[in-house]
Amino acid sequence: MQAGGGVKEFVPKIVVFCCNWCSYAGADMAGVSRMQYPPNIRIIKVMCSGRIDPIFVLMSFMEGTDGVLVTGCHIGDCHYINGNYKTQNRFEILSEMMNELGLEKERLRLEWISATEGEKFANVVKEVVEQVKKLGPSPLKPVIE
Amino acid sequence: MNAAGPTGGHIVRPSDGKEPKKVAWIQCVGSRTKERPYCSRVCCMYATKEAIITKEHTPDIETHIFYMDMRAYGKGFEEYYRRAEEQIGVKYVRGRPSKVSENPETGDLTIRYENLDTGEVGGLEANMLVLACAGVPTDTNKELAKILGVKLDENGFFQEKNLPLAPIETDAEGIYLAGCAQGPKDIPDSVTQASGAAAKAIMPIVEARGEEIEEVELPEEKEVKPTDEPRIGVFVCRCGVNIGRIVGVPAVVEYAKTLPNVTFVNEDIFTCSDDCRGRIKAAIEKYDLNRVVVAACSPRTHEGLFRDTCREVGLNPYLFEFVNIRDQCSWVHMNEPEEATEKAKDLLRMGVARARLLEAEEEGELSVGPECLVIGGGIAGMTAALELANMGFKIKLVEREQELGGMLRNLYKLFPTETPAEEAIAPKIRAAYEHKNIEIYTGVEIKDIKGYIGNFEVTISKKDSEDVFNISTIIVATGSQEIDATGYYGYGEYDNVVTQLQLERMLKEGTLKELKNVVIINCVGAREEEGKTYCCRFGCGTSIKNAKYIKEMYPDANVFILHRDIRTVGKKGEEYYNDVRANGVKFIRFSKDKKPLVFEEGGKLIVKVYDGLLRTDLEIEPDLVVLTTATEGAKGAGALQKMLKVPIGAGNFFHEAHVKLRPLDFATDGIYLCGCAHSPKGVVDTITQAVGAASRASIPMGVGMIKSEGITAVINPEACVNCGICMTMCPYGAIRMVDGVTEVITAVCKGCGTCVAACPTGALEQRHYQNKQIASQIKNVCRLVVE
Ligand code: FES
Repeated sequence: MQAGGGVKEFVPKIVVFCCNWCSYAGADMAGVSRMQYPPNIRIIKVMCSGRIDPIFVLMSFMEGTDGVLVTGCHIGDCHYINGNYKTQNRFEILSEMMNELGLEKERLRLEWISATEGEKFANVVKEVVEQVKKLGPSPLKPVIE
Repeated sequence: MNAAGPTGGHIVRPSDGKEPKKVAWIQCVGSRTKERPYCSRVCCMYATKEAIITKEHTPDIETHIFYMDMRAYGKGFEEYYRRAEEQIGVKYVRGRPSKVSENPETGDLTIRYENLDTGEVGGLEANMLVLACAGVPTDTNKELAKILGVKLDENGFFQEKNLPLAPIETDAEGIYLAGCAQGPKDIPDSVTQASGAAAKAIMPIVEARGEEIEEVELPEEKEVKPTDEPRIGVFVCRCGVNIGRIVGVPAVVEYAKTLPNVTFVNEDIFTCSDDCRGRIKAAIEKYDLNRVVVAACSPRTHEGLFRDTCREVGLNPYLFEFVNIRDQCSWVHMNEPEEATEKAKDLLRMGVARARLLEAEEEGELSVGPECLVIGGGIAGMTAALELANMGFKIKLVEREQELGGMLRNLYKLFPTETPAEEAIAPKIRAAYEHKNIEIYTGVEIKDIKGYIGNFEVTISKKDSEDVFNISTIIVATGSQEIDATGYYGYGEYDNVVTQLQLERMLKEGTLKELKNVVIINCVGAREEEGKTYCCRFGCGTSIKNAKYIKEMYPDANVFILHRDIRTVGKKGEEYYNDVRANGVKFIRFSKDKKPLVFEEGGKLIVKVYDGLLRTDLEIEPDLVVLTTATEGAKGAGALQKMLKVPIGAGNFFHEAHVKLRPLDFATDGIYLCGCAHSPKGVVDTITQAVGAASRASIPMGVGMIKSEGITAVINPEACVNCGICMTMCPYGAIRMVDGVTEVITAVCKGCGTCVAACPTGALEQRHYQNKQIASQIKNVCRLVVE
């Protein structure tokens, strides 16, 4: 809120981690099919979702993003056989930690998106943005600003 | 169903575009008929898949599949079928519908059918009907066959040279078959045959392998040290109007100029065009750029091109960074040009931050010698060994039994061609012994296998001597065996209950005595709820063939086959089945809940079975009961699995790298598999796989090396505490411990980075995806952060 300037609309920023082989390609597919979704996400590509160190997720919040979406290939489809199983395990632990950090669990989401699921990618982004908008700015935001 | 299809993944009726509530499938439409007697092989599973997807998409849609036999014969198929029926709720009705009529007002359909399991006659109302039509040969087959001078079979598919022994070759020298050209088949079988065809096609020209390869001359790479001040060139693309119409490219360009270390910025209509790439090269040289960032389309399509552009003027390709402002920006925010422009700036800031920290990376190379170890001297191992030996590679063929030949040594004749099993193996045994490139070890055990592609060290033992040798690649062809049938249908208790393998031996040796009543029971210990959940793929054929032989020897004997689904899927299989059926062998179907009973009463062996068709119990007094049992991986498979560190699954069958795309490889480089070690199968499929596996193994050996991208994991030995967690993470066996010290085998590492994320001390790092590089992107999401 700004004094005298009226209410500034909350424009969330959301980090999306994509793996090179499926979900990044799914995001491209959304583009190729011209599926429209809100412009609040910033994609960071890694080779496999298994590369996503939980620290990256925490760091995202520490740096002021309002939500994080972790994506990868569907279970069984990981280009590196089973990297996404490890992602799933790490995600569960992370999700448990969210409350302790003073963050709502709903700011963090995991989705498997294949290279052809452009529509799913767009829909998931829409949902995440909506969810985060409902929650408002991340409580960690003031810490860094 | 396809998200990219005309209805965007929604299932709607063609007539009125409404979503159906009830969908039916009819199988075997136009196949397994007089006109087209063969089975199309793929439809049972694809109807099942379609029904599953339909239900997953809209759970309350009812799905009904009308089928004749559910042919879930491949690896994992039976389990998939069971999941569809038991967990997803797909309804299966056995029977071929007699009539379909339409209600002209509603467009709904009535399908008249007789349920062959219950005898119930009914009509199913459905909103939509999907027909699983016969797979037919391509129209142009006739013409093509004429041009090539090869034959077509009676169904119009290309005719192989010999079934089952030469399923890839044709009668014409130098012409080979792959995929559905030879007959309907699914993806794994097609990929397998294609690999085999590639090996065959190389053979006549194998001497010339590796010749006439042109090397591109590149200038020497200029040295870029991590400590050098970054000098970044940014190239923003308008992609015609694709980006420029939405994203304010000039604003992005101006923004780029404000970012630290950005030395040069340019804007172009098509950055990927030849002249623009020329300008990038000129700028690298003129401004002494040591990093290049292109903001344009997707790295998935264009990264290689720009990396090459950099390399062409001596800049290491890993000093290039791609920012996607088209597929993931202008195309998805077409109505928000301002926000899209802001997003493009953010993405560029993140990309430049990462570029600042990029380092030059080397690609790895590992030499691979021409020696291959083939484990298993059955038809699969011998075929693979001969194939490779003919290509000039050196083979060590290892067999635990005293003789080569494997399972086929016990068999009489093969389904469906009645080729004597002896004819299949004898020439191969001879050829293997005579081949100068094959060294044969029989009666040996493998004690240990260490190392990785290009560098395996193998220890074998024979009686009390040991032998150690080095080889480059390994083919696993360890086969399968009958399960121990004790406890099933009185086996082990009554003398006259035998297995198919015992019967084969009797047929082969001519010791089968006169018989009056013979009962063959299929799927014994197979397709179970737990344990051996899978189908053995060849059991139906075996039972039908052996029933025929008994009938031929003793025409007055009654021969009954008690079966579940009949799965004669291979070429000529269905025709053979029809023939035997027409010639007096009696087929009685039982369901998994009403299995036959075998017992003794008053000194007589009795088989009691419920005949679903007659809806009554039948009692037979057989003088012989033959069990077609489930199969399982060979007994050494478990120990071998530990040595090779490759995955193994249900029934001790090995797991390939990818069911469809890499059916012959293990995920670990340099190890391949074929034959029944992969899953139970008949001789045609085994030979095809063996040639395919040889083909796969010949690739790294033929090239003489493997390459790895500059994205592999590296260990900082100072920070590493040798906890070994990374080793458990790696699916490729690319991390090993030598004398208590952990090391990455760079050539084997595929660069997924999973181990890096798991390293508790930060000793592991992934090149090109370093922690600090990823962190720089994260930190620059919200604002400019330079460290
Ligand atoms: S490559 Fe996509 S999750 Fe592993």
